[in-house]
Amino acid sequence: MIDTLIQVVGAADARLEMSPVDYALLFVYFIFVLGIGIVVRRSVKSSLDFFLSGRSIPAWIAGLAFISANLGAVEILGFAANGAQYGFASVHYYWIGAIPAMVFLGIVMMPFYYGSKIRSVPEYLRRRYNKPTHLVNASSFAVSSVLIAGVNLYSLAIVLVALLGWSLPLAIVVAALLVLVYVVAGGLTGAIYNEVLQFFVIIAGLIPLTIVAVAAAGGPQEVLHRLADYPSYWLHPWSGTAVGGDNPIGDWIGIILGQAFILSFGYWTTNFAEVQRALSARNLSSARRAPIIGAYPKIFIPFIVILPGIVAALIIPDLGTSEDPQMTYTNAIPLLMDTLLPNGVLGVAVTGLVAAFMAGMAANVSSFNAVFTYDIWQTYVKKNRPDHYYLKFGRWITVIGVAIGIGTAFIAASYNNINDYLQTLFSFFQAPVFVTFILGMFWKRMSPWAGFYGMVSGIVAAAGVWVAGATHPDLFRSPFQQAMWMGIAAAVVDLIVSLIVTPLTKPRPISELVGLVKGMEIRDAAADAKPVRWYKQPVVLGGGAITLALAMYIPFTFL
Amino acid sequence: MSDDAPTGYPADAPPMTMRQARMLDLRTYICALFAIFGVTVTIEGFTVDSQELAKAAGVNINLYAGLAMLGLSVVMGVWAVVVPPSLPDPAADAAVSEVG
Repeated sequence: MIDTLIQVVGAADARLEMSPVDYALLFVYFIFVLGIGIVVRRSVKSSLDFFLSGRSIPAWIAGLAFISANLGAVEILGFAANGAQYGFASVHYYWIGAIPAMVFLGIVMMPFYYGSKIRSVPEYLRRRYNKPTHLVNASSFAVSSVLIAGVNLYSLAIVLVALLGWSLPLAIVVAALLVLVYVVAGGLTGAIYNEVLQFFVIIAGLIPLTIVAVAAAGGPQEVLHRLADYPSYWLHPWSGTAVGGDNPIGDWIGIILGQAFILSFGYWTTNFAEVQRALSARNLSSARRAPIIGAYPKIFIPFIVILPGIVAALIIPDLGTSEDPQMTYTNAIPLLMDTLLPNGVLGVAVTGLVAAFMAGMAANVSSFNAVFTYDIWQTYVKKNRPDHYYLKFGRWITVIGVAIGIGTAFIAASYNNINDYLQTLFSFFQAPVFVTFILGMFWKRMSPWAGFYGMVSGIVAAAGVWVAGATHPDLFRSPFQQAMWMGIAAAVVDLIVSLIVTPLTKPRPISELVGLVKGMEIRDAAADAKPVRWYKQPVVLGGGAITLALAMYIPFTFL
Repeated sequence: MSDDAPTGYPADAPPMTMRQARMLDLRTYICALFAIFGVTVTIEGFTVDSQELAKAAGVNINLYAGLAMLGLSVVMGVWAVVVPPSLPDPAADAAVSEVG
């Protein structure tokens, strides 16, 4: 996905006609980003302040940061491309993928994460299982975060190059320095505040773009009318999802089991870049609500990401079929911006895209420095130092992380394919983790070595399916379907190995599992005594989000 | 919140004043940024010419988007004034009803 983006935006001269007003808006945004970093610096007095915002963030901010950390420009351009190529078929990623996973994190898993006062997701594995399990997860996360930060940085730079006409090295360094300043100064709070600001700016850019695009296509009725000429899954996301059907996203088994219950749950509930945002909340109740609050706006994101992509396919005749390197699906949103937006809103939309890339990179950097400092340095290298040592170390490792990111960005500029290989490699590590976490939380007997062998064999299984797909290209309908089956294989193998190894190895003593497993949650007596208003209860809020997400399918059945 | 829960403010640090808490209130920044964006884009909407209007399929999108951003700015500003930020005091934290 990133790879296509790079080829497209990099090769073509898609220079937007930016006026001084548009540049002024972008400049004002940069001032705010830096200003926020510097102002929140005074709230950073301990390592916990730096890495987890001192667990002081209100639920709504943590919730918006939770989705914003993921709503990077790669997702925005990528799902617009999916819309232009497949219509609404990829909406499952949101409505039965992300939303239920976010609600599940809030209702089921957050009490273990937040209640046990772990400071990172890998730290849960260390306390629940053993150091080898922890080390595999922590080091693969740290390496992938810092390299993906570099890829994000490169993607941001080529947007600056192509849209604004900057030179590539200048764009890479300026973008990296902006992120560096606000993360080093403000730590996680700096990153989170800017993510929420970015959320509103990207929305303020994409809603006007969608409205104008639909108007340009002749209005909503005309859009529906013209979609009748396309395959039925363009409007009916469940169409063609029978086993052997024509839906490019895959069959219903792959969508429900692979996409929803394994890949989405794995990503949203165990990726530390996400979970870190919820852990920053000021108390358990806020931490549980954060991902659920984020779920509500997430339900509507397809209408400003996938829909403009669909409309782009209708009103830009050569999109995706032309030889012109500018006319690829990934370029749908930049092309619409160029064609439709007048100066003013154009500046807001460009600022939103740039902001989305910066937020994506900052999310990688701010989760990398926490895992590297707490899980690698403090756990294996320099133990028992005073807290200010780790705070200072965290700031330096942020500088080093950004420097590695800059290096990765320059490498990516020479070897485009490296991005796709990195994404594939890291997907092996992501896939089996969810099973290991959920077994650990709900099965007291599950032994530390079962955690280790289950996870490692799941990684091998995911890699095996990838190799099968690479050597037999006709095995899967699309990369989506391949990813789903990699997830399913990893989960099933992880489960089986865990069930076999557990009876053969020693369990962890019960006394070490306090706060980490079902039935041994740490309850906060003071918070329990305080009545929570009904609309603030995670089960009520979460049930509402899932119901709303599933209800979104209804109009698509009758259209 | 239990007493041993880590907070952003170590016990030996001076307590935060309301002024400082407002400086750290994100709603203030959202209000200010969208005031600037909203005014700028609304002015573009009032000075629209026929060429710009034609580009955006006849929709005066700058005007609507500008006014909507001003609306967001007002909502954030009013919210920040009506529900001031709670000070990060672990004892008070349990009592103060939280924003969100």
